[in-house]
Amino acid sequence: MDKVIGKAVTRVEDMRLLTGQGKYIDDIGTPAQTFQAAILRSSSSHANLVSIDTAEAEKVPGVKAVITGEQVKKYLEPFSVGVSAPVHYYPIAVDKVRYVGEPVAVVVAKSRYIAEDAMERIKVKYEALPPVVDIEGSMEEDAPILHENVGSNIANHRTFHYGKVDQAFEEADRIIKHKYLFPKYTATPVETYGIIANYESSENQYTVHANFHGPFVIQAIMAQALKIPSNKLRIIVPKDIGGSYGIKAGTFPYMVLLSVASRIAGCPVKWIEDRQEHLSASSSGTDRVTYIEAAVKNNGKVTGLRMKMIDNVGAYIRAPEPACLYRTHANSTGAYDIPNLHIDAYAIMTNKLPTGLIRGYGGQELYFPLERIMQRVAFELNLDPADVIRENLIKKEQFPYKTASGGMYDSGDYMKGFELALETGKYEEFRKKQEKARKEGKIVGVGLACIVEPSGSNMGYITVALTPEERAKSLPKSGCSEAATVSMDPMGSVNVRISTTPSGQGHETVAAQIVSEVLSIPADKIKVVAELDTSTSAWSIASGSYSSRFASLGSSAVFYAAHKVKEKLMKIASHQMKVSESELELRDGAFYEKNDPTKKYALKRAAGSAHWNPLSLPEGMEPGIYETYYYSVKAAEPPDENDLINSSVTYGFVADLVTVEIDPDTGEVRILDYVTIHDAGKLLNPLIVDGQIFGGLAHGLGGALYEELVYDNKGQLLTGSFMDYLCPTAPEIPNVTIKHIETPSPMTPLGAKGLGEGNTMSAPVAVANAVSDALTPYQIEIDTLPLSPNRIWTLLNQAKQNKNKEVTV
Amino acid sequence: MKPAKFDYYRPKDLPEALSLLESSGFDGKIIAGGQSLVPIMNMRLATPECLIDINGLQDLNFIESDDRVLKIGTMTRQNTVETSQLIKDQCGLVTEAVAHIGHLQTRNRGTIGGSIVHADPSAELPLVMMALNGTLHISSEDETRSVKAEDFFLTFLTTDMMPNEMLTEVHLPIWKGRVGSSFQEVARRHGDFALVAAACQLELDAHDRISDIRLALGGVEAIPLLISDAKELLAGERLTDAALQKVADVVAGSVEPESDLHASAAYRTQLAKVLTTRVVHQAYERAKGSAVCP
Amino acid sequence: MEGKGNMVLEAGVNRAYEVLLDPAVLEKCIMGCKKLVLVDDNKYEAELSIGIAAIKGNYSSTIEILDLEEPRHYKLAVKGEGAPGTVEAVGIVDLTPDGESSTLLNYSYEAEVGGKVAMVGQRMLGGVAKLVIQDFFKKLGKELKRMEQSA
Repeated sequence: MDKVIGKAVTRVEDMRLLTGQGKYIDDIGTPAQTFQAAILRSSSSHANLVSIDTAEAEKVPGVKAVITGEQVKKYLEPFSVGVSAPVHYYPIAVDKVRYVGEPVAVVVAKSRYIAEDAMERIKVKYEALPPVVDIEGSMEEDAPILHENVGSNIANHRTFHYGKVDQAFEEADRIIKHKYLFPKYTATPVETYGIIANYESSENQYTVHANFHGPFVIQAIMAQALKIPSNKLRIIVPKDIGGSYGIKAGTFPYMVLLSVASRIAGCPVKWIEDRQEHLSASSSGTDRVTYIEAAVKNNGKVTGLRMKMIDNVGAYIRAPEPACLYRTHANSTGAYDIPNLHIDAYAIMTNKLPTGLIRGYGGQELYFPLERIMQRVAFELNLDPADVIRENLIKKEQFPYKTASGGMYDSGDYMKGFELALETGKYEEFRKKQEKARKEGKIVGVGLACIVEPSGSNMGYITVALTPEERAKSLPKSGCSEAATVSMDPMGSVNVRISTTPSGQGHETVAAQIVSEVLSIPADKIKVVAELDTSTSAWSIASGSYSSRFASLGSSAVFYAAHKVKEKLMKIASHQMKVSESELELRDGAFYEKNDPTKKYALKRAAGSAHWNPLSLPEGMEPGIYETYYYSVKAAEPPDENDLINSSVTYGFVADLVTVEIDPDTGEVRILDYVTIHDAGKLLNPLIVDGQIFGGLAHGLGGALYEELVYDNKGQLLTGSFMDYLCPTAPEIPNVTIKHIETPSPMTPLGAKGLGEGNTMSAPVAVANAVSDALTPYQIEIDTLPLSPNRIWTLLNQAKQNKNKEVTV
Repeated sequence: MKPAKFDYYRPKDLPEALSLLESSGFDGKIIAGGQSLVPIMNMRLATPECLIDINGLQDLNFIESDDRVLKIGTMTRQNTVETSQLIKDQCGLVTEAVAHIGHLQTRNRGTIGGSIVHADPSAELPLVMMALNGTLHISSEDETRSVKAEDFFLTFLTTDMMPNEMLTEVHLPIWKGRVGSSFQEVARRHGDFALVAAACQLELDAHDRISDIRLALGGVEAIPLLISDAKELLAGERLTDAALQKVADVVAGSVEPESDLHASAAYRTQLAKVLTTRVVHQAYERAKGSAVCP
Repeated sequence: MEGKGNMVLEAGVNRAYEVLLDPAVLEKCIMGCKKLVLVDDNKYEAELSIGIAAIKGNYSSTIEILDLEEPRHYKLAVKGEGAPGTVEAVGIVDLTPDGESSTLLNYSYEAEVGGKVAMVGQRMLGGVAKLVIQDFFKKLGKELKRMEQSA
């Protein structure tokens, strides 16, 4: 049989999705007597909860229960958090509200309509408190405090010192520094959060259907919050999730809230989040202030970096935060060979929506200042930005490359990828065109970005939030486990069960490709089951869909599970054929004797005998064909006493080149061309790969030009609908050229690395660099996003006025 | 996000619709395409007690012309308007403007009348009505009357219509001769409400001198803003850069936009200037290139 | 959202001051005021229906009159809470005599909206706030004129 892995196979999921047969949370049906929930939310960003009068709401016909924080609290402990600050986070406001949209009461009624009617009759008395929304403002001495028992708004603070930073700065020819602000933005899947929770008092068990995709370490956190043994919290994830881009990790507080609501109301409860709830109260990326300083030699070589980064995790720090600060810890110096690194990392809390996973998690926040400062190095030293990148890129022969902060970049040829980007984007030619265009009064520019795309998170990295002393007090955390099960039924048909809870990425297709190749069975004969059930699936804490981990980890688990099946079948064939295993080969659905291809033993028969005729099996062999493999990688070690951590398993590479033109009169930015070069190791399915890249890029362009969750200085959200929260749509996506190079990862059996988040990390800064490049004649520094026409025109206008002033002086 | 309870009626003809409207007093609300009304009802920002669905009034779905006036029935879908050759030939400004309304999917449902009576200050159709000073035909159980666009729009989302009245058709004058028009807007994304929009229609004499011009802006005030000085500044002359600049300056001096999330007042003023020069220039060039009508 | 404006009242400053603070007049002039009840010195509770066209929300409100400096100056503070969210507005009014039977009124205001309306209404809130405030003073002027004429 031909190679199947690496082929652009069309997706097995698409037929059902395109014919309306997808099984999303809202399609799976509900238990009898299920009631619907609506959630009353705070309109105040910071206030004491004085009273909640539910009497009128309870009188509305069809209302089963009206539930407040006081009632919910009885069944809960606060969620545990990964920092030492004693932040008490419940899924509903208890004594205070701390952000607009925070749940205040849950109405359970016959229909959502009735629930919303009743919701309007709840009377809440708030006692307003001064809010704080500004990142640095939250750290000021007289700032309003969100959590009195914490004593400040700082949830986490750590400093890291790698190499000889002070020396690098002392010996530098130049120190180039700037402050950057990456805004708060989000992921906006078409399907919002959805939950069906059912408490059965007879077993004291919660069964929760939810479009939650892990990390499943959060299952333990939920069980702990619910004060039950973890096997009494059964989570079932439907086959289809309508997109997530990370954000559905944030369903967990609502899963717990609805669980308790079911318990109090005494019936199964269903809740489908609406769009306004999603934008105001689901989860989001963090906004980050970074002060970055680069120690630079006159030739553009960066010898050291200092970064003070302050992440705004919103009103409550909650799992997996402050991970946004540390997810990219190993790749803090990006694609560059910079041995000296100082990081001062803060997670602070303000009266905004709490944050969590979104596509690119931490990457866009890191690369925005890093790649902006690399361009600034070029500008200040009067060098070509491409030359500065060349000077600093890690060389091919340096791989595997150990980063300053403990990362182990597994493979790569960054220079090749970068040169391919320059060549594909016709960089030199564009520079000449730019010179000419400028003379004609046009504003055009080119932006470059080189980034390392981490994938397959090491569960140990989150503990970097703790000091080595604090870590020593608890069990070390490491690894990146993922599990898969491959089984053959009595008729020889193959079922594959995965725990990677896909949200549209095509895991079923790729898993089938892998098993097909290993077992030499056509892919369309293989059935992949993507539903995850914590009571029956093989899963572990790392399971789920995040950190682009399917290509590196999920696929590896499937690969090894298939191999276990193959080995067992081989043993059976060898036993039946009375030929040693080494003399057999598997092809076209049968074992053949290498020396005598006329002798064969069908795979189906081997599987059949394991079920129908177990007594014929080799001595001591179990009947049946059902193999589970738990995969992890040795390189995912816990952080050491020097805070060195390899935070991800594989590291891909992305080089972007983007050209823009700016309308001088309106400030509108038009992308002329977008070139992106990816090295994600061996590609498992190039069709899916390019789809992932397009999606990641669209999200990245959203961050660059359109998307922001805007709050006013009172903590009111101003972008609560798609009229004001602007996701790019098809007409906003420019011409994109994608090219690949493949340097296989030595870490994974298939050589694959994760991808799909790369351009979400790179596009914001690539576009910012292009805009900044275009605006060099006006000496405009781009230090925040999104690059709205209003922002660009205002900057241009100011620059022109300053110039006029200079002239008159 | 579910609407509050309401009564729902689906009249078969105009008299029935008007009678329902009359009897529901201030609590009735007409629903046509529902592209603005349904979202605000779902968010419970509007809670009409009674919805009168006029989708069954197919008599109000028409496009007619007598070569002097173009008549469009209130129930005509925006997409029908967009693709009508008759409208394109006789009032191309409408065709150009409608393409900017939302997305194909919303235009398939949204109606010309719905957009006009909703009177969003940034919407395309109210702006075109103002630019061309179209006539709105309005009926109630008791009377039928017509209002000029210049008198129709009162403020944000508010028109001259009484609660018992319904828009039935709109009339647009057909300009003859060397006519050119232009509609342009700046929006954050394709299909968004315009930050600022501008519409212009003008006529040239045989010597390329402007004989008539109408210019209006959207998104700068509570209603579409007619720049009535445009004619005074430009009529009788060929278009020059200096004249264009003068109009732009008049526009900049006469708009008092509000700042919002997406555009400051200063930026909106800038856009008003820029779009003014662009639409006047484009309309002029188009008129120059147009064949003289027989 | 903030703004300011002025108008000429057709009454002497003392009379204007008195009428402007008359609860009956306030009730008439505040847009959508269904009920106004005095609950404390210069403090009222009101049911307001505020909005534009079909987009209206009901708010349980308190209206306070503060910083009274008869007959030249006062401050009006409105706080409302309802299903669509919260409204808070502060208006400062200064009166300057302009002859015997005419008074110049200057006002400035700051308004804040919270919750659902703030989340979705950004495009028009500033303009609508201006409209609501202007409407209030316009009605006050008219009411004063009417009372003067009938007096």
